[in-house]
Amino acid sequence: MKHDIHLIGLNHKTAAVEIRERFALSDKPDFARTLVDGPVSEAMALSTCNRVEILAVGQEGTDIVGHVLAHWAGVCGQPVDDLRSAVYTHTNLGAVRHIFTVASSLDSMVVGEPQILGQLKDAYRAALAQGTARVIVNRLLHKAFFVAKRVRSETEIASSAVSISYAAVELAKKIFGELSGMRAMLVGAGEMAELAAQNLLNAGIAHITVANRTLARAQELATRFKGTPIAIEEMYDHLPDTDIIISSTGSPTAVIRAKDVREVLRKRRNRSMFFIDIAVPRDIDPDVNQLDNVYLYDIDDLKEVVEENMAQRQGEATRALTIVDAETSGFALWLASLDLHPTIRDLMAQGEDLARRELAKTLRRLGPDTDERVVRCIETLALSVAQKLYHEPICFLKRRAQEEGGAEHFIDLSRRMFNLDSERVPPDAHADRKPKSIDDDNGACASDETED
Amino acid sequence: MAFFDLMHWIVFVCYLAGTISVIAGFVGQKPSALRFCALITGLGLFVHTLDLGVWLSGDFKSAPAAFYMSLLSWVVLVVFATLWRLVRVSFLGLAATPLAFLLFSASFAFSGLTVAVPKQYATFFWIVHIGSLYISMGLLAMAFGAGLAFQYMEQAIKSKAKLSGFTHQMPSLNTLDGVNRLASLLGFPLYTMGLLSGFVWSAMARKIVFTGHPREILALAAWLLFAFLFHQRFVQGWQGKKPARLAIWLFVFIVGSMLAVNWLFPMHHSLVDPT
Repeated sequence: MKHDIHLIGLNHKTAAVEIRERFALSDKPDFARTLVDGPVSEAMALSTCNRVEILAVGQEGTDIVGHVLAHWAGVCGQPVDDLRSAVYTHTNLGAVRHIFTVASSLDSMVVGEPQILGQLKDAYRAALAQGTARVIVNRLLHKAFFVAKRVRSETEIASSAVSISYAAVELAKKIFGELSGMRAMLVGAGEMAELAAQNLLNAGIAHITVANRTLARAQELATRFKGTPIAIEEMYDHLPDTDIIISSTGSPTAVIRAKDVREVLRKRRNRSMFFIDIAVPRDIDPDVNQLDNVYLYDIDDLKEVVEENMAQRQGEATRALTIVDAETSGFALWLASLDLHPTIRDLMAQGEDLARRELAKTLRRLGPDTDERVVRCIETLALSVAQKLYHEPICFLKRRAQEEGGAEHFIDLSRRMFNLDSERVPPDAHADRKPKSIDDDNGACASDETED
Repeated sequence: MAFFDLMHWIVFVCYLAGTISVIAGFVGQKPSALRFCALITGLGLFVHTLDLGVWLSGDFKSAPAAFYMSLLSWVVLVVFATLWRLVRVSFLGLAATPLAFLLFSASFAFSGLTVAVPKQYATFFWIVHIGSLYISMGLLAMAFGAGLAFQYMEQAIKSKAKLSGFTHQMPSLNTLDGVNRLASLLGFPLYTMGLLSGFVWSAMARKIVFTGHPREILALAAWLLFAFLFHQRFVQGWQGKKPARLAIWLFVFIVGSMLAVNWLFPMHHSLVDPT
């Protein structure tokens, strides 16, 4: 039986947030299980804030898209026509390519962001738990995780920061290396400064001091960051012990001046300091950047870093797409191999190849003076053993091919058991048995490659 | 080709390949090239160690000048490997490997010359004087590489230049400054010990401490510069750009004086034949 793979979805590019909200499936965990019925034999649903996508596999030539749309609209209690006008669909290799692109974060709002891969893994786990991921979805998703890994390791798609707060953390790492043991101070309490402070804490910073004109607000933030609240007037007393300063007060004039920082530097024996000025108008005298071992970035500098990084990611995305295309072609070969005849041919060829290799070794051992008749007999023996060894598995496959829907599973199993596609299998190929291992896909060969 | 010569050429080829691959690895951002560099330079260092061992097992008191250059290139790599174990700054390989290659290549130019170490106190003199001076120079070479990297990186951060590609792979400023700190902390006492042992030997063997030879004057000048770096770093609290810059100049000065002065003013441990 031939299958079609369909991908039906809507995302931030094709549907406004109002539409995405109406057709979101995040609160409908059973969607894939209820969809697998009639023409649909396998399914998986991915629902995030930026996209809702349904992967459905079913018998060739049936109206799978219509079935999915009707079911989807029905589950959400919305008119199907509203959904039909907002969705995009991809079929077979188009669907495969799209899944690879999504997994590699090339279709995301922020190209290269890592969350989508985790969300895709969650969706796959849910499909596995509900039993709606079988031969094709299993293989497709494992391949998608592998492609995502390749893209991340072979391109610089995710090597640079694309948010102001994260860019600040990256710069701090370039100055100080490991941030553990470093101390930071939050001067003022702007939203972006809080985000930067949170990112610094996530990066391992040891302590945060919060200085604010209103001590109550400083206390509130310090509690959140498990830091120390101080009044802004005490700031200079604490600066000698501070490595990173994030400033975002509403002051119309500079709060931190170069001459004061020079004195602070003397007290801290010239240890490096990093000032992040997120305020407009700026809180920190620009001359601070002229001092040795002091580095100052204001909001425009950080924005520039982010814009450059975004542009770099777009450039890397082009490289990443060539990987996606190559892997899509590889997957096409596997899909084609799900027919019985190529598998029989490959099995026989493998058997014959094995026999001939062993024959050559034996003949080398026997030496060049071996009688021609003996050589022919050994050759016949080797080829005959190989053919007979594969006879029963081939008969088994032919019998299974007569059964509705049963052949692909056994064909796929045989191809993997005999490694007919000569591929390296990631150790987490069986996430249903080893759910944790989905996260550390490294493409190494696993010897226990079996599936039921 | 004799086995001894063959080892030389193996080391030469390994260091050359290491130099090309470390440049390709960092500048071209090819991790596989860096792995190859580690492998091929490691092989070169192994053969180089055997090569020096063969030399030392002979009469090192009349070893050719090439031996001393070869030994210096070996020390540079060993110091780099030790620092790598301590602070994991593989980036310094970009300084260490080409420098070791250049020094080893230069040793070919001196293969016809012999540096005769006077018999008195030869072993002690050789171990303390050469050993401590060479290790301090190896440390300075690393401080030189770290200093250049620091200047480049600091300029990029100060000027808000894009930190991608080559710069992205560089270690943090604090790490580079840490190399300078370590090199000053260990290098200065070793350099001092190297000079003192030389003067003590001179006093015992030749009954004169200071001859006023330009080599000795420049060695003392280098020591003063090194002492200044040490003092500013550990007493005045210099960090970052200033010690980085000073370490660069100090290394250039020491290497320059070692090569140029030895060449121009033949003496007992000159690289040209005093006769």
